[in-house]
Amino acid sequence: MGPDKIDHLTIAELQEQLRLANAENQMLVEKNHEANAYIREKVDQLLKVIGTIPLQPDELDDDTLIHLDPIGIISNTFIQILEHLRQTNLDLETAKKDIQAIFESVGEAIQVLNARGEIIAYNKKMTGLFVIQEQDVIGRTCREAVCADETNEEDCLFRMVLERRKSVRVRSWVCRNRYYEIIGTPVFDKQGILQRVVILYMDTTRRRRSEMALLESEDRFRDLFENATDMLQSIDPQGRILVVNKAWRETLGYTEEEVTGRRILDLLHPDEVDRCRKSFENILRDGREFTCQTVFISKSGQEISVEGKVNCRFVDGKPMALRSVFRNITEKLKMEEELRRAQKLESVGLLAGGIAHDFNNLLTGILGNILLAQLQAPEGDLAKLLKNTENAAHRAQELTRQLLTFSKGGAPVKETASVVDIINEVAPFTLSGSNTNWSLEVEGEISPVDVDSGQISQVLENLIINSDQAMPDGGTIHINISNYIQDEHLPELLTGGKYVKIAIKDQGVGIAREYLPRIFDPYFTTKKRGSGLGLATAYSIIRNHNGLITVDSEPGRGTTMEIYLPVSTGKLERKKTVTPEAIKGSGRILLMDDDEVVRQVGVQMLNLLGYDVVESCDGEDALQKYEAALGDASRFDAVILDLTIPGKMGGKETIARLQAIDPQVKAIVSSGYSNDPIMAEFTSYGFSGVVPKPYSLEKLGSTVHSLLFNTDNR
Amino acid sequence: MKARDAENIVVYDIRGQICPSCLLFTLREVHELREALKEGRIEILIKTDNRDATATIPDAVASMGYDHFVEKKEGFYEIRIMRHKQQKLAD
Repeated sequence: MGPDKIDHLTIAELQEQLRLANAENQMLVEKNHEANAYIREKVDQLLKVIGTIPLQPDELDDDTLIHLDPIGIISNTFIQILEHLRQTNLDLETAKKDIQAIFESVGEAIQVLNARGEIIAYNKKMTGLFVIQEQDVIGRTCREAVCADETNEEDCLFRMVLERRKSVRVRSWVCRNRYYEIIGTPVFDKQGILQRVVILYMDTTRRRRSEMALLESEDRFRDLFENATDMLQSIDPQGRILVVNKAWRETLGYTEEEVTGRRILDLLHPDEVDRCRKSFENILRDGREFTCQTVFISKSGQEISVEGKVNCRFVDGKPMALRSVFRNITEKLKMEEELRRAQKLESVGLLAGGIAHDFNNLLTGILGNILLAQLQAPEGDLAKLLKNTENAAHRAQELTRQLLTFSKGGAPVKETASVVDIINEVAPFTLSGSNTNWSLEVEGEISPVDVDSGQISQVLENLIINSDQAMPDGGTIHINISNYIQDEHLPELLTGGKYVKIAIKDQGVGIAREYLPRIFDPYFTTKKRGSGLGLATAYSIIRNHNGLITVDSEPGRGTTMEIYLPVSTGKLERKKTVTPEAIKGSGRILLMDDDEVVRQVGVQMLNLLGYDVVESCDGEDALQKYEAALGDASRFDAVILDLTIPGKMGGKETIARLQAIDPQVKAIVSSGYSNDPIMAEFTSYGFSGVVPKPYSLEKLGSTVHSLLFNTDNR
Repeated sequence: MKARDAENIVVYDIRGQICPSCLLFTLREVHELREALKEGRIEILIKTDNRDATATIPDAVASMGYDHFVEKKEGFYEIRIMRHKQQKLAD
């Protein structure tokens, strides 16, 4: 319809066309409106998908809406969202692989359970520990697949996690003889509903067994430490006790509570403190181990000597503890002192024995000749001089007797005796003329003892003289005699059994502490005119009797000497006191002695006693003479044999050979070694009698007479 | 409305607009600048006084894989949109 035609249209036609145009326009407007509405609706839907509010009509008019192109914008947005989702999916896939890798490589067993406790995942380690190979356990409960009903319901970790709704750790869980530390961790969804429980099993069996082995090891070392016989101690660098073992506590009498934390120096003898402090300071500084000998004071106040080593434990160059291993040497020191004393006595004894033998031979000549001279000059000035000479010779004889006590083999000639009787004989005699009194306390009926009464008298005499001299202004010596039975307070160095104890106590000047260890040493004396043999003799005699002599003294307060003598199993026999007298007889005697002087005196004394005597200088000579005379009237009735002939046959061998020639031979042994064991047990060697040198006329006479005429006057 | 405060920050001041036009505007700019955003060369900073936008914009850009940061200023809000930090690590 072109413009040309408009001119030809009628009004009506124009109106019709206008109406049609309006209608078409209206239709287009409506369609446009519908299109915009459609766009708005779809835009709102898309906006809703991405989670925002719908379009506001007053915010965006249709033109602006078309211009803005929201659908285009949102579809571009969706492209990016989809790209992001795809990337996220890829990331999740990678993360899943990461998690799977962690799951398998974590080194511990892990399983994942659903909310019903059914296994939905587990790693390889889990298979090795709990799940049987090739067995599909997915979907089974962990209780039947893992615990296999070994665990009680209340110990079930899954149940604990369900109840507590948080991670639960069980440090010591045992399953199939292995130890585990297990951790259960809940996994919740966004609504807080439990979806999973992840359970981690850490096998602690090795660690646990190591810990147990460590504990056992610690127990063993603790046992070793506690029960070591040596004294072990650990001290902190400040000198305070950290720990001590049982031997330490028992030796010093303390409990663990009493010593822990105490200063070690407070437990030492005051004389040791400065020296030990310096040693401790040195080792803390230079760390050098040192050997230590010191003295502790026990809880009961006793001095305990110890020796050992001290070293220091350092950590990063810093001293942490002083460790000491000590041995109680109190007893050992006493034994060493005893041994030292015994060795000294032995060496003195060797010397003394030789001297005494020669002295006795000389004294035999001197005393014999004095005796013979006295027979010729019984009265007058010469007799007095001879008596003085005899007294001096007897003092020399007494000194020789003391010396012989030390000589080797100086065995006591024992007999069963009463100590009370010996004291009653010795004490008044020793103290006659002194201003010192004495008292005797006898506790009960005292057991007899097997002793050499002469030697024990000598011991008691020496002790009483010492007590007397310790009280120059007079006083009383208290003597106590009691039976002493073995108990826990038995003095050291004494074996068990029954003893008689003699205590001699004075209130004299006492003995200085530094002298106490030496008072039993030979030639040790504090007296101006003392020989130093008195206590040494006493000590030697008592030890030879298997007894003990001890001293307890305090300067200014007096001294107590105690003697312990073993009780005899024999019975006490009261012997008649025989007054020695020279008994004469007759017979033929062979006298063998290497010393010409002794032979001469012996011959003269025997002649005086009425016997015929033939001299012999050694064993061979004596055998020849005895054998030569055996078959005729000149046979010998008895022989007197010197025990020791230097370099030649002495009495011991001679009597054996004489017995081979004549089993009925009667022999008397004679020796300057009056303490020789053969002199004490002469019958065991084949002798019938004994005469010690120097000879006394009475002893010689009575011994020969009793032998020849079978009388017992010895 | 569009300015560069700094070399790598593109700033849009859309104060006076309300949602969803704020969101649509932001999404359009995010799309246009996506290469530079994803490579981390730029960040977008939206200044808006529409409170709804502080919820709709962050939700939408998060779904697209971007990090965001909302800060309240004097009378308006600043919403920063930037590359996701996980993306940085992946690159």
